[in-house]
Amino acid sequence: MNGYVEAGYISVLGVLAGYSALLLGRSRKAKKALVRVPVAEKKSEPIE
Amino acid sequence: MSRSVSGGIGSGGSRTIKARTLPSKRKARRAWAAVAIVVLAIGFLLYKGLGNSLVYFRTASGAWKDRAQLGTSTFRLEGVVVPGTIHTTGTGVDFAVESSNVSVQVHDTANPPQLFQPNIPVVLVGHFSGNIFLSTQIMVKHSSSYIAAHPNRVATVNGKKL
Amino acid sequence: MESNRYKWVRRVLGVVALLLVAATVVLGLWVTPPDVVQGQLVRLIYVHPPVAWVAYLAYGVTSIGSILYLWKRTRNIKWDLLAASSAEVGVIFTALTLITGSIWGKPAWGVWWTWDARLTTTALLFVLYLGYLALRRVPTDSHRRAVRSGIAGLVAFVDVPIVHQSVVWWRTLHQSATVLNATLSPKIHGEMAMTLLLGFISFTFVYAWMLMHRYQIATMEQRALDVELEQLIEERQYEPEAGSALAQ
Repeated sequence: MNGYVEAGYISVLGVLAGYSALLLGRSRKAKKALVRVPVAEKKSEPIE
Repeated sequence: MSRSVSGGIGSGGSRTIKARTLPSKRKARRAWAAVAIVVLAIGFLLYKGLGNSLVYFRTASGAWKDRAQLGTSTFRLEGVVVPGTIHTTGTGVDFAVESSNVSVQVHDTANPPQLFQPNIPVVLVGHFSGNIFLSTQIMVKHSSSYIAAHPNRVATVNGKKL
Repeated sequence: MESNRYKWVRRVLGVVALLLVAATVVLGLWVTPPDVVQGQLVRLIYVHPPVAWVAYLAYGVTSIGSILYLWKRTRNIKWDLLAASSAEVGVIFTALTLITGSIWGKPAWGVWWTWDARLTTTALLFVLYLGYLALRRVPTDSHRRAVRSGIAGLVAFVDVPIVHQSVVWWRTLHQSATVLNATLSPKIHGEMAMTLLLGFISFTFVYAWMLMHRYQIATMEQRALDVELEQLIEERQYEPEAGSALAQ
């Protein structure tokens, strides 16, 4: 088209896709952390 | 300090959670530093805004009236490009801008942007030299109206008219 | 963990958002005609005002969440988490507003950036909410964080109407509103107007999906924190000698 239009659309779609991917990753991590808590509870480590 | 804050060698899950959630002085310092940077940035933007945005430009007629007191100080001048006055020079373009029936002769030494054309409002950066405004930058002030270039074109997607 | 209905709504939103954005891109890039003055550049108009609108919307939601937390009768940590989630998504969309505006400004105005009131107040909006997010990272208990950031969120929101009205209140290089102007008479027609409208709708759906996702992450992290606190309290009960150190 003229370079600018493409750059605009690519930056919008790119940033939104990137942030979405980040959200999905963080969601997975948060879920894992929640599952881990009960395990940690049983494993109360002695003080160093 | 206590084991929870140092959060070091404890195994597996218990360690990750403690390191993440328990307040440490270092974490707090870093967070406050980020807040401080943001406050500085806000200050910078306010300074820029107060210095430029309140009177972003002077209209051609207003500036013409005040040209004696403006002297050779640099400011932004706004007006509509008068048709028939545009002459391309070796280094830029000469033309006149108008507002409220007052027109100002402009000698520009920078490349005009692609939308530069007769009857379009522009904002010029520069200063007066006698009765001529010497411009070092042309910005096109676009209107908020949008008109299709080919209004009669029939747009279709998969044979269906939109 | 997450109710099935919440998950279902979020998934539907995601699919609809994706389809709508795809339609906006197709219409914006290929179906709509070029503009009389701007030519092809007009195509950026189908994304720039919509992402700016979503930023306003996101900060509006942040303000509502902040008020509902600060008001004692409705106080619930969920409102604070909603406010924070929306602010983060808002910052993304404000960044996109600045990026797309800049990309349009270079060919249309001739400059990437200028210090006119609209651009300056928008940059300020971006930085204000970055500050809001930075403030939230300062370690403290959930309640103090919520009160602190609730106030900050409301203060930052003052800039939203200023951004919108800046083109009316001050002389700017930026054009005035095409659709949401004083007389509510859109200065755009036909398929161009329809595509712009579609842009507004589709990015709003993207926002809704992102907000649901971000909010869910926030609640999960909050729950992990709560569970861990309980665990710490429990530990303290069994090991009284460690209690004094932990209390700090």
